[in-house]
Amino acid sequence: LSNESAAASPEEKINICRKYFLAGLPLLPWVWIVNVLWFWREATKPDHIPQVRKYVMFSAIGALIYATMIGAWVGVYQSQRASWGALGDRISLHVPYGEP
Amino acid sequence: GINAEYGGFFLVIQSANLVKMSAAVVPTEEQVPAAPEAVEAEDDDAEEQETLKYGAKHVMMLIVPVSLCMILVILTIRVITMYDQGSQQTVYLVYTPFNDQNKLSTGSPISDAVLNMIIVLSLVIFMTCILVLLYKYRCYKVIEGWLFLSSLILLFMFTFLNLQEVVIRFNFAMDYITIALIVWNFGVMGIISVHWKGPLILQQGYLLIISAMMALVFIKYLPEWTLWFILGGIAVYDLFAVLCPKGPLRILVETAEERNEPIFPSLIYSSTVMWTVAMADGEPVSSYNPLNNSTGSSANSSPPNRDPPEMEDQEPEEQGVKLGLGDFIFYSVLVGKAATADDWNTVMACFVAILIGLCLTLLILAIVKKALPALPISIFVGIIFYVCTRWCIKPMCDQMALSQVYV
Repeated sequence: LSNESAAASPEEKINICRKYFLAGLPLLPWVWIVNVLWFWREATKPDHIPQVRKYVMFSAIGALIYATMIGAWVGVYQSQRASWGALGDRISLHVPYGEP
Repeated sequence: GINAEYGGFFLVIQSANLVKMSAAVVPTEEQVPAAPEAVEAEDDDAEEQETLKYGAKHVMMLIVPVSLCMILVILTIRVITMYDQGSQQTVYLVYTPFNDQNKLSTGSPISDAVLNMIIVLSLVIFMTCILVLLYKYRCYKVIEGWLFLSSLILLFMFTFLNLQEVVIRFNFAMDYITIALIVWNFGVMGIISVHWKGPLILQQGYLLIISAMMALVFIKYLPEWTLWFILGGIAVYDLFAVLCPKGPLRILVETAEERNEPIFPSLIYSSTVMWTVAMADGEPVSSYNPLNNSTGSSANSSPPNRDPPEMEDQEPEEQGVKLGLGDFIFYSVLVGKAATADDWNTVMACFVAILIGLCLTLLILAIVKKALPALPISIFVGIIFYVCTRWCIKPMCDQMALSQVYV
């Protein structure tokens, strides 16, 4: 992404990275993904800051875990919705009309 | 449901009013060269700076986002046909009571539209004045809270409504859990990047999406003539509000300049991040400038008591341009309304008209170097082009094509 973080102080970077990590905990993989993408260059350069790298790694792993969970749910829902009968309709925002 | 929308829109329109107030192009502050390095870097460009403050680069920095926003709105309207309610329009906002659905109508769509416009415009003026008063009397917390609430509603409710329309249009199954997760993620990230700190491109993206969603709401819920009158009315209002000495927007900009503060970052699209190094107590403390990374400005610091930070590190070519979100919204409304007319010529004509207007405005801005209203030129050129294309050029082209006359 952009390099505006280049001129920030190390404490600032650690602070932001950490806050993004904490923010992503309540089921927010998107925040974690942004964290990873934003601080990727920071975390992978030779003179990286250890805490930044740590948070980036945790965010990446966390995002993967959440993504798998969400993917699993979506997969189950899409394939099994029809067979769930009334329950399937109740939790649906929109039931497709027309022929399946 | 419709009732939910009615209720929700009350707050939304408050935010819309706020956003409208920011329909101004603001030049970045004059660079204060305090450090020697900055002065040297400046010398080369100093001459160029004197004649024209903004070059082609700055024009591009605004044209791209404006175009993207308009394209987003156009695409949404063409793909999701629910936005042109046309003849079956049944839901109206509480703010436009004179319409064909209720007894208040005067019978003529034009006088209805004029009356609606007066109502909406008075509301906008009223809200803007309140905002300026709040700003003048330093009620920053109130303003912040208000802005925060509006972005909250915009980012969550509108995303949900728009996604719902997309889902219905493309007819795929969606459950509440998945959509809740999507809206939750999208919304929280939006709040973070607009009101706190985030990658610049993400913040700009979210501001564009917010503007597009707002424009879509206007297009969907305002009756035809009313919308055009409101567009014209807001453009005229913008002209007066920014240029007249007693205009609320002008007071706002001047007060902000006096206090050397940025103006409501979450309402303004900024093309660059500005860096400040505050040399308070001799120790350099660098921070993201509150310009587009927001509430930082009001939440973390108490602006009136702090020494204005000097913009030492700003290279001349990094100076950005700032455009109010209200401008994005109304440009998109104009183009979007043209898109509902089912004719690509009109859409292209309006698109080009708005960009021309924007370039002209920026040109004048470069010469005059004060905050300018960005709406009037573009909107009026846009309306003229719309009318001409829809009622003169299109029939002419159709006729020529039918008669096999080629020019």
